[in-house]
This record gives sequence, C-alpha cells and structure tokens, in this order.
Amino acid sequence: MKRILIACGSGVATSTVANQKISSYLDENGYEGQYKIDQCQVSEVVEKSGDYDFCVATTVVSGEPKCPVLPGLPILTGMGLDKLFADISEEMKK
Amino acid sequence: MEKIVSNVEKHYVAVKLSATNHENVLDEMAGTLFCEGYVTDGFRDAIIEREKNFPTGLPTGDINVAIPHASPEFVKEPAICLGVLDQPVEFEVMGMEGEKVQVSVLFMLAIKKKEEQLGLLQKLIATCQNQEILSVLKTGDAEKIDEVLGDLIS
Repeated sequence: MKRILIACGSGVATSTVANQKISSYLDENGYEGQYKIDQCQVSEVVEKSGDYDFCVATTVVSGEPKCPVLPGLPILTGMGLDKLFADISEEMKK
Repeated sequence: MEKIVSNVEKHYVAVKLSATNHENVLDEMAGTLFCEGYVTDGFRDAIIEREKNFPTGLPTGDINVAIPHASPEFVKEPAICLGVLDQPVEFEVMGMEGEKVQVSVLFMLAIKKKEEQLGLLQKLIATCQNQEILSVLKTGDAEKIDEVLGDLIS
C-alpha cells in the first residue's frame, strides 16, 4: 500500500482536483486498491511527510520533507502532465 | 470595471477589467463578489494575502489564467467571478517560485465546502485547459460568457 500526500495552499481547492485526477490515473493503470491518498495544507507537508511514500504539491514546499515531492502544476495546466504521471508511476513501483 | 453578466440563481458574475496590476485586479473582483453578497468584507484582504503566499497563475498556453481563492471562512454563499482583462497582467505561477505569467482571464472562487464543489473545480480546470473556450471568454461577449459560466455551474 502506497501512501500519497497531496498538498495545496489550503488543502481545499487545487489539492481536491489533484486528488481526483491522480486517483483516476492510478485506477486506470492497475493500481486500484494499492494506494491511500490524504490531502493537507502545504504548511503541514514537512511534518507529515515521514508517514508518506511521496507527495504531490501544487504550491512550493519549503523546508526538508522526508519523502519525494512532485510538482502538481501540470494537473492544473495540462502542460507536462505525461511527465508527472510517469514520475508518479515510478514512485508507485518503488 | 464593467459588469458583463450576473446570475444570482447560479451564483456567478463576470466583469471586464482595465486594471494594470494584479492587486487591483484582485481588489476589483473581490469587491464584485462582496457587492453581490457572496462574501464578507474580509474576503478581499484574504484573497490578496493568499495570492502573495500561494500564487495562482497558470501558464495554460496563449491565453493564461489565474484562479485566486481564499479560506472558506469569508464565504457566505459559494460563487464564481470571471474577470476578463483588457490588457494582460503579470501574476506569479502557482507552485513555481519566482516564475511569472501574463494573465488575461481569471476565475475568482468563493469556495465553501470542497466536497460540494469538486464537480465545479473539475470543470473549471478543464475550462482552463481549453484555449478555444478561453478565447471566447476573452472577447467579453455577454451571451457566450453566460453560456460558458452556466455550463460550469450546472
């Protein structure tokens, strides 16, 4: 079971969209039931990161998170989305 | 500032703006949502402060957008304000420190509960990724804008 943390400024708006898009992508690519996603505010990422395999953040994460952090911007712009999904696949395979 | 359309049943409003910097743009759009009764007077400052800390510019192609929003505590009724700019205004890119983008279409969101607004948010992001729709919005045509926003909310 992979634990994924999705963060945005408030943990309410863009992380909700990212959560849905990443869940759909993972389900369509055979990972259904193999992951658990939580949303949070970006200010909580460093503190929470030790409990997660990786994080996708639509805002800048400052400090030193204990798990890899992927940029979530492509989910919102559509630009570079293939690369982000490829990176997420890589993290799922680890 | 000029109001293009307002729909009080579906909670949306669209304005045409000739502001020259991002703070003026946010000020006028937040003011519009306040005047229409969707948010409390703290919303304006919250939007401007949040944009400073968490910029919302999205480089989506020829026409770039921004989706300013703030904490639900200042929201009375969920609503959306479309802003169409005469001239593009510089915003910082979401999640990319120091990167800038010239924005000409904005969606200001008054969000109350994330669960209730997932559908709207999804449709909104799809709209932001559709240059054809963005170019229609950019013309400022009231009838077409009404149609696009109506679809977004329904």
